[in-house]
Amino acid sequence: MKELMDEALNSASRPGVDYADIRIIRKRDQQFAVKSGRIGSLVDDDDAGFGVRVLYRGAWGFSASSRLKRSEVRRVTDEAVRIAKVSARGLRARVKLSREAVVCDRWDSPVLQDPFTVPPGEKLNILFEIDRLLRKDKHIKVAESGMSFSREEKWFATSEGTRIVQTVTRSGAGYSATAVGNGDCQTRSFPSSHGGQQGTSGFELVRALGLVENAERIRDEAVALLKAPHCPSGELDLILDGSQIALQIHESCGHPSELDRVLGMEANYAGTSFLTVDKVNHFRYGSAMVNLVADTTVPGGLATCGYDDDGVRAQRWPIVESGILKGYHTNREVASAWGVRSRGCSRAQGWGFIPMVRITNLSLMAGEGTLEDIIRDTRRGLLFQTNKSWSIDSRRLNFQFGCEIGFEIKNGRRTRLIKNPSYQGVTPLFWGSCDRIAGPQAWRLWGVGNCGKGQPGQTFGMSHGASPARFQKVRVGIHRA
Amino acid sequence: MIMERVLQLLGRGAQAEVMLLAQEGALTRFAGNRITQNVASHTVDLSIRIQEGGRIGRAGTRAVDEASIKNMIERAKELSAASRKTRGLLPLAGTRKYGALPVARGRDSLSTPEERGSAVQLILAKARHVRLEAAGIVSKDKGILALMNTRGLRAQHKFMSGRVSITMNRGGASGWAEYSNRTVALKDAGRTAERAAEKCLKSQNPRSVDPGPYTVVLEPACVGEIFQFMAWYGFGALAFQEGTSFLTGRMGKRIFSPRVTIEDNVYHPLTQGFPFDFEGVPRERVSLIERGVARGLVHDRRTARAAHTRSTGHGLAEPNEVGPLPLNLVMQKGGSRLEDMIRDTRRGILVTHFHYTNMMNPRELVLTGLTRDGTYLIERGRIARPVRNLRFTESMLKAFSNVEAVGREQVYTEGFFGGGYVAPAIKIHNFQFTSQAEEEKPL
Repeated sequence: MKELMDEALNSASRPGVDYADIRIIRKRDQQFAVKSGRIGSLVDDDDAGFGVRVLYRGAWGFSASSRLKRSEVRRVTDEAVRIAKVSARGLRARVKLSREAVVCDRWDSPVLQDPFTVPPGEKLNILFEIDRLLRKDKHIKVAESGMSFSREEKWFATSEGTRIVQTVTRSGAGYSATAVGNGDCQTRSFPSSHGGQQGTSGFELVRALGLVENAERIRDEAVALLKAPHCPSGELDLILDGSQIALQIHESCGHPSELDRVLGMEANYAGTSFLTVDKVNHFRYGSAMVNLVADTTVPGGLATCGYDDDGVRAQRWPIVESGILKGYHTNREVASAWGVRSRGCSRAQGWGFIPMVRITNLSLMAGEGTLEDIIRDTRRGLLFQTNKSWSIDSRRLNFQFGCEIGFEIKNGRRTRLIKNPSYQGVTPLFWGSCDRIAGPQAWRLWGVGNCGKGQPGQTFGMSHGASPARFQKVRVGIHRA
Repeated sequence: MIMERVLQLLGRGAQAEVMLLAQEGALTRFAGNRITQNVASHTVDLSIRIQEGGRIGRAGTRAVDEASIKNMIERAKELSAASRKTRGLLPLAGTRKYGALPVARGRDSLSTPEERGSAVQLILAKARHVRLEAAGIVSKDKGILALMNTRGLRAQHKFMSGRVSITMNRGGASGWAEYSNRTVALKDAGRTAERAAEKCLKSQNPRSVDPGPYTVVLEPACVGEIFQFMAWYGFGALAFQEGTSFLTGRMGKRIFSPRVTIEDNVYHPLTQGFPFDFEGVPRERVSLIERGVARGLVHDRRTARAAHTRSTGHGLAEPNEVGPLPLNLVMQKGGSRLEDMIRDTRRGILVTHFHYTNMMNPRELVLTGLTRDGTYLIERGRIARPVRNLRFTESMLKAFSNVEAVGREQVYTEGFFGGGYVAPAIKIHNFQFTSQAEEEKPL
């Protein structure tokens, strides 16, 4: 790899080139899925390639290839420089990178049990057992269960002298049951929707989830939802479980605090942000109990790493402190534009993509008590669990979420089940209405593995830590079909 | 050559299918009137599906040297051996003949970084001329998709596409336009910039309107976005057979306005795609909604067997959980011009495109999403003024039953890999907006 990295950096070393880097990545992915008694997916992919990024007279060029040969590295580097020269035409303000430490290091994510050494048959046995339990009720017409594993080895070198080797292993698993009947279909998922739980971990993550142990409960809830009444409409106190809070954090705090969005760089696609830089240190984002902390060092997070794709060391910092906006997700480019050091949020989907600012592990800090304490403290309200749908406007203010399951709460007790729960709000008002957050016992990281951003589109994963929380007078029951 | 070598290295005995996807992509991205990202990539994806004794396994690689190919075969064999016997696993598809897709028309350029750079400079010049800020992309892709299997199937298709997408902005008000075709040239970039600028200039100083039911005129990009959800949640036979499709229990019944006819048709001159599916079965033209009546579904070989019919050539790479998908939905055009629809509207909303649309209830096809980059109030047959964006929450079963007029110009919008949507503008009455967007105050 050293030979290839030297080839790129030597080749890029020419007049006008301010900076160059090369990322070489080898990645192995395994996917196992069982759907309603059949193999749904059984894939083992081996991916390798490299990307060269060049800053020529303050303008970016990037090219990438899956052919790991010196001649191809030379060709791709030439192409990156040629592209950067085009970017530099008529440029009014040069891109500058924030000054960061030059690093030579190796970092490996901790793994207790290498998921690639667990026999495929053992993984499938777990999934088929879940499938059997889910389909024991005749109303369950679709049972889906899956596991995914990846190991990414990354070699990174820059013209500034940084040399980093990282290995990150990720694991994930989850399932869902869809009941059909009564002119309706209802889905329940475990431990969360959209593929289940994921994290930077080995197979120990899968073993700790209690997948099989929860299958019958999830199946029965899906069936019960078919006959449940619709979510009532109106304004009520709303308790959200941790997995739904995770997506709420992602959409209404994560994306608007990406500084590239704030600066308009995503205007044509994902949109911009209401969290403009003039609001830092005084804008009230949420109630005084709302503390949202970004952390690329937290064990197990999907975005946990040693260094980002700019070579900046992982770190922890506040985005919202005691309800006040404090910071952003940044890379070296936007950090420099804002006059600060990078927070190390530069990430690319793979070797074929240019890195961009990404939400990292962003968590709502725990409060006090348990979910049951919050329920006991609620006279009239609703409890929603597990995300079903999500939508938010291009400045990240008006959001609407649907969940899989809801419960009415009356006089401090969880009462009847409700289906098609949904709620809508405006970001700072919603977080401003947060008046209870459960304690550390109920707090956990939830992996979001399917975050899309950029053109060409890139998918990346991050985790959001949360415990159940309560919000006052939320508009619920948006639509009854 | 590579694919044949894979089958040679596999040896005799097993059934196997080899898939090759080689792509070259380039994209120039701009924002704030400057190029912010400028990228190219060259990729080769090689994969093999092995079926042995009713068991199945798939493995892939990006490296095409002999050692990597052997390793890929071994990994597929290992998975296949560990797999359980799949009841009713079909043998691989045999040899087929494929229809020809329409030949790409129009001048094609913007393939080199310099040509894309010139297109961006043209767009930025048009933005600056009217004191707007531009953000967007100019992209070009080309590649080849090929399939080969041990039963003699050979399928291959070369593809190319280009796209110009632009958002113009001034003071928080924006306008958007997009052009997507197999071929794309400098003049397409210029025209797209002019349309986006016109939208933005018309969007200045928007005011709020109350949410509620409105007559809406949805431009083609809105219809294309809705089609993504119809494709994913209902027109595929697996969702129908599982009982989760919005067509379940409604086949043969009138579910939309008689003005609505929808088919899946990769052979339509405006669309982009492949003449075969990911099992190598030729894609057929399939009538889905005929004058408002639910008429058909798309099938892969597995759902076709369950329904005692034949595959329509809409399968994904096996094994998969999704089932067949219509990748090339086409809505038949009507007789109205966009201006006619506006002129015939007493009070309504004209929508340029939607943002962050998502499914709330698949059986009733309830979607939520927001308007974006050009939302206008229509009063007494004229565009009266721009309005702030609105959130809709609406059943598309109801909305498409309320279609009053269909545009006579169809437009292509990009969809999933290997497809997109051809749709005209439509006019719908009683379309439900449930809140105002982008307000930092109570809804």
